[in-house]
Amino acid sequence: MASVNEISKESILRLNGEIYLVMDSQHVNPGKGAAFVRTKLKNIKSGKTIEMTFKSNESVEMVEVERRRMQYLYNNGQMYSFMDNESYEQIEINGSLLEGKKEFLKEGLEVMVIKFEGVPLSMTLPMKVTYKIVEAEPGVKGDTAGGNVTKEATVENGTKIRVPLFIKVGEEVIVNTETGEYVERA
Amino acid sequence: MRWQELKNNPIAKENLRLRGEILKSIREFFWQNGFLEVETPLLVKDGNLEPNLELFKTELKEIDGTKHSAYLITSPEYGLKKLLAAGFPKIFQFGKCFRNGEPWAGAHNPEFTMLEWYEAGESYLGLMDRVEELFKVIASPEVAKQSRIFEYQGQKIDFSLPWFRLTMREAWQKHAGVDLNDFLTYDTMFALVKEKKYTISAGDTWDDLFFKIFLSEVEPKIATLSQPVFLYNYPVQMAALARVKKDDPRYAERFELYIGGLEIANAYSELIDWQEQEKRFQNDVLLRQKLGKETIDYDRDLVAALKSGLPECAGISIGVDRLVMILTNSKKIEEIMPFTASELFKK
Repeated sequence: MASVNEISKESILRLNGEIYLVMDSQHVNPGKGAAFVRTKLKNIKSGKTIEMTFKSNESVEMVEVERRRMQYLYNNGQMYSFMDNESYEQIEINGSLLEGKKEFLKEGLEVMVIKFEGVPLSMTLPMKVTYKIVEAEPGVKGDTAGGNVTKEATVENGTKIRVPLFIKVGEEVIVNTETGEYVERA
Repeated sequence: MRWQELKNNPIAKENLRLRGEILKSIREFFWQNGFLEVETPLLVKDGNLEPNLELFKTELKEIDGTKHSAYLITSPEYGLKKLLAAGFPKIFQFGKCFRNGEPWAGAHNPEFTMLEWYEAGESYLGLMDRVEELFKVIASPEVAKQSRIFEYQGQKIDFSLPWFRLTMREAWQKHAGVDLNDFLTYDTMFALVKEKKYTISAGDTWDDLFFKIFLSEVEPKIATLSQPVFLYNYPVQMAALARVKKDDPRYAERFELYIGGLEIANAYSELIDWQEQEKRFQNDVLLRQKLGKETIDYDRDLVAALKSGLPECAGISIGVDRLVMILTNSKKIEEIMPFTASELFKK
């Protein structure tokens, strides 16, 4: 058993006899209430996502997983293919298990694939990844709401991100894969 | 270093400038509406008793070396209520409050800015109107450089009046699919939480069970609404310092304000019955012991002030940092504070 405070986005839990992948977890301190951890859990069998809140002093059962360093190859519809860097074994993960992550994959990117009982369930991205800008409006006036002066740009894998006005097509930028935000020029 | 960021990044700098503008317009709003700004102490002898909060404890030394335990406030409410009892009918305090042992991320910083005000002769419903009036001023294009319809982190928020008012019972009916009236006892709530397959641990109170469902099923739905929401009539177990509803003693006259998924304000028709107040304080002292929190005494001076007579009144606290986050479309508290605890202590 582990403290619910230790779970993170890639944890895998056994709860009420089912196996869940943690999609999101967040500390919440409601007004006048105790401290809680609110999670989004995906049932790996049914694919159904549930919201589940734990008191922060509770324990949860984390299951043993295997982590393998792999390289992203390509996607074929819903399935995303990776290759094990040591064994050259190729595996596939369903895109529904990669929500919020698949947008950051690019060919050749090294990730950590998480397997449970031999079945690949998820993967961890590097915190920061460099992408090439393939499309960006020239120095337009941008979105100034709230003083955050940014514009939309498309990177090499088709994902759209917000970048400062001075970024041009052809430049490389570093993106935080956790937040999807621009960090700096590469 | 944060100061370098402020020096080089015009966006970061603009957020702090807007923060100043917003603070100024809040002050002006209260002065124009006949309130007096007061400053009750931040360093106190009797700390706030809220059972779930961890206090900053320090030591006060007299010149002869005599030592006193002292605490930083988590809210100025005790001091402000004493002033109400002393005959100040409309007061506001704008200042720092402190909470220890909480996460340093998202919308939390151990030192934060709270706006708290009290109005004699008002109820919590009147406060909702006042909050709407306040936002008409501070969420205006002149102050926040945004139109009436804001965007907060990709979500549209329409500040046009009137805002959405939803009772806790209605919210549960709509989003958790049950009538809250049927689950107001420990046994019934326990059975519901079990049926819905949430975890239950020894020592869970009714409130804890309530929050497991509320935070999973109800609050996330409220967070997606495109209007500010007053969630009101809290179950009496969560009354804190609020008055019980006269026509339905199962609920208390308390509301919270949610904007863009952030909890912005907490308000009550204030409890003015000194005996009930003393009873709740004594319960909180016991609950703190049970939770393993530091044992502190309750503020007997406040009970005495209540005993001398507190007018019917309502009071509210607003998290100013969160309000600035919304008005500047900032995702994290560090974007709108000059220097946060993680900047000062973790680098």
